[in-house]
Amino acid sequence: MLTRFAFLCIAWLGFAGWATAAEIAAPKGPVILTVSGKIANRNAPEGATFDAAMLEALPRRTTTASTPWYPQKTQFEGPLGAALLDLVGASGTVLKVTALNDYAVEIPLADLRKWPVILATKINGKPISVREKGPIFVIYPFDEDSSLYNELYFGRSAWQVKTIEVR
Amino acid sequence: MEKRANPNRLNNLGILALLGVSLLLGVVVMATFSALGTRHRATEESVREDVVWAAYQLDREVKKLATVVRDLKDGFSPELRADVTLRYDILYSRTTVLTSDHYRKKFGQDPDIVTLAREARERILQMATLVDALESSSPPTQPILALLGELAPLAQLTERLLNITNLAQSRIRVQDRGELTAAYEQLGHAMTALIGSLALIVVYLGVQLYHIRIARRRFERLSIENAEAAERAEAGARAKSIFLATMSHEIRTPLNGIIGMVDIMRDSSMTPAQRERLGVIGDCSDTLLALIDDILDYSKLESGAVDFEIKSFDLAEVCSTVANVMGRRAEDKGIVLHVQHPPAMITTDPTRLRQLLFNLVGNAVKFTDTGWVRLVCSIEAGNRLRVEVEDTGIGIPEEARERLFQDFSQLDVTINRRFGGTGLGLAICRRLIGSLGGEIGVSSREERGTRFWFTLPVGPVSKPQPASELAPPTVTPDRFVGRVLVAEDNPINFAVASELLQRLGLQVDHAPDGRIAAHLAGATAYDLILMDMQMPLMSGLEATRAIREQGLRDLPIVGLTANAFASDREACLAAGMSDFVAKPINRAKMTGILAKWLPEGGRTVARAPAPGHVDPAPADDGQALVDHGIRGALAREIGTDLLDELTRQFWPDATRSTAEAARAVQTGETDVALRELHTLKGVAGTLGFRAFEADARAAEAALRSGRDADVTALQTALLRTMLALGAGGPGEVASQDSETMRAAG
Repeated sequence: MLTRFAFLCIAWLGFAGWATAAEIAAPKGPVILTVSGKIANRNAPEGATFDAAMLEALPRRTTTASTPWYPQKTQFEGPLGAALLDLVGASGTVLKVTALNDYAVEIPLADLRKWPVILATKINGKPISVREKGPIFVIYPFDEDSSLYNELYFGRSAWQVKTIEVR
Repeated sequence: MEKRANPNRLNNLGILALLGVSLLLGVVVMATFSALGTRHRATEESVREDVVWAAYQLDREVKKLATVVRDLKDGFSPELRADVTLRYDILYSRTTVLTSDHYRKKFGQDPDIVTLAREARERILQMATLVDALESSSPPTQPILALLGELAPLAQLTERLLNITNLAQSRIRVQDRGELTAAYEQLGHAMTALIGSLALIVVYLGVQLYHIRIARRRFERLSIENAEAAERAEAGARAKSIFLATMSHEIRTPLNGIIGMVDIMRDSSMTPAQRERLGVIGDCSDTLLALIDDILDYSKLESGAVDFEIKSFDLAEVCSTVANVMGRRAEDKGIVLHVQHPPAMITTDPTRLRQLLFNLVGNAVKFTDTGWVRLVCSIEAGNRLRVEVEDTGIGIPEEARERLFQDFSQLDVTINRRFGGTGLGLAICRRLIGSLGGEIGVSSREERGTRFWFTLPVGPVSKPQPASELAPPTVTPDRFVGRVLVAEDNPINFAVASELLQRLGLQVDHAPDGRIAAHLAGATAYDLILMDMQMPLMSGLEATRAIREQGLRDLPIVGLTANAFASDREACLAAGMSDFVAKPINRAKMTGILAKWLPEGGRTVARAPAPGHVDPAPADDGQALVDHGIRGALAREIGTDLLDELTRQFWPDATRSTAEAARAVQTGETDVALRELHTLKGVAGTLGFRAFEADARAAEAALRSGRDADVTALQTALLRTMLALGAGGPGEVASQDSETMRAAG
């Protein structure tokens, strides 16, 4: 009986471990990003919600580039958009990115597959507040591909990002 | 010329100026493009962040903040308070745009905007303490009221900023557009000017091309005219050459007659004065012929129509001919001719070599009065024949040597008068030697003699075969038997040929044209035909072809012509002639032809007796002139003195009788002729004049059978008999001789 209980416990634990890998853990801190729409994995009714620590845990990249928004070369750091899409199991073609001020822009999902686009959470090594266009700033790899350096991609580079809807 | 050069220079300057202008315009266009590019980049930068959009966002965020603050005043809740904080943070984040570099760059000139933007930013930053105060006090009525109090003027401020920014933006846009339009206009003007100047360049080039084409056409016309002129000149030269050739040919024909007749007359008896005059005629004729040959040679050389017949031959043959002929001439002048040559078979044109030697040695002999002339031949390395002709004559002045080999140049008129000649000799030599690949030169000291030299390539050179050196000298027969047809339209030429042939014992028939010749050849069995080339009705060549077509393939036909060129020889042989002989015909040439072409049975050899000596001819000679057996017997019977007396009496009688017989034959008095011939036959037989007797008998037999009697042969036989017995030639015989000759003609 004891052994059977132990077996069940182990099985449950194993199952739970597997289930955790497939599902997204619940955010422990304040939610700064919500991904909704055509996604496979959710941790809340409205979709997949993330706090700063969860985003911090994803594969990251640092992009150092001149941008129209800052007078000098700036270092942007944050999780890769593609990693986030993989985590949530996105299956659409377009991302509707909405900012805190309800500014919304549509980004083709393919952009995130084609380039290492990041959701920057740090500028010059420091987390960014809302006053500094935080907490999330979509940054294309301007340092890597000069063809991105125009209004189209500046426009897609939304700041103060609040939600992403996969369509 | 100067006037014509100027437009060209102007034209060139114009082109240069246009090129300069085009270059300048090109630079302007480039600069304009570059400026447009810069402008475009600047525009790109300015639109990176739309300032109007930023101003609008700012205004909107102020209004949104005001709305949530009013909501918070109406009913406090922590969510609403967080919302206010967020809205303020967003508004705060917008203030950086107002002071950004781009913003300042763009509106730096507009003091209103700068002032407003700075004021709005300061107000927003000052609100931070009020927003922070919301967190600490609850319910935070005081800070909310203060915030609302702050937000109302801020809203007015941002609204005004939005309006002003929008206006400024519009103004800038209009200004930009104006500048852009101006730039495009400038570009357009530059392009138009550039196109215009390019068009002008094209026009100028077109004009240049037109001029070039006109010039080229002028040159073409000029060159065509030149070519036509050259052709006319060449045609003139050709016509002259043809005229020269024709004339020399025409002159040679009567000259042949003169030379032939002189040759015949030399054999007859004459007084010393007559002989001297005949000699002068003969010399003049020879000189004239030489001159004409020179002219003909020269014209042929000039027109390049000379054929060379290169073959291997013995140098000794040529040298001995020159030694014989020129030696005699030198001897006449009392000078000595030395000839030296190595034994060698050489390869070149023997006729031309002989001509060269005759010319140079002849000149040397001509200009040397005392001393000697030396001809030295040697074979040099590289199979070259070197010939030197040295004399002790008058020499050649230094300054004259250059002109020496020029055409038509004799040293001076005096020499020309003294020695005669065309002055073509050395020019012909030079051209001949040039054509044969050799060189000619001269060295001389005036009054001390002259040395001419020339070299010719004569390879391959070989030693002459010893057999030919040991060969016995050929003996030319001087009496022949046979029947010869002479086809010749010219009566004098025919008379000469006929006379010579008859004197050599031949029967002669005459054909005045080619058609008759062909006809006679078919009807009578001739041993030989002498065929003139140029005859009326049918030429000698055609007649020869006709005769050959009749099947007379082996009948010897020898061509006679005044044109002694290889091309004529080839034409003769091609037409089927057996041989070819150049006129004038003399006894030597005639015997040469006969010896070569008459059948073996038609020749008899009897050495010509030296004048004044009785030929010790053998008694058993069938055709002997004199039967010494009979005469010996007679001498024994009637005594030598009587025989001599009878013989002496015989000559005038026989001469008269023969002439009478000839006259009677001519006039048709056959009985008179028969009587005379009979008498002659009898007396001749008695005296042992066997040939004369035989001829008289033959003539008699001919007359009796109604044929033409060959009285000429009879006269020849009489003369020969007289000569054989050493009888002096009575003047009577000579006059009779010429009469008979006319009859034969």
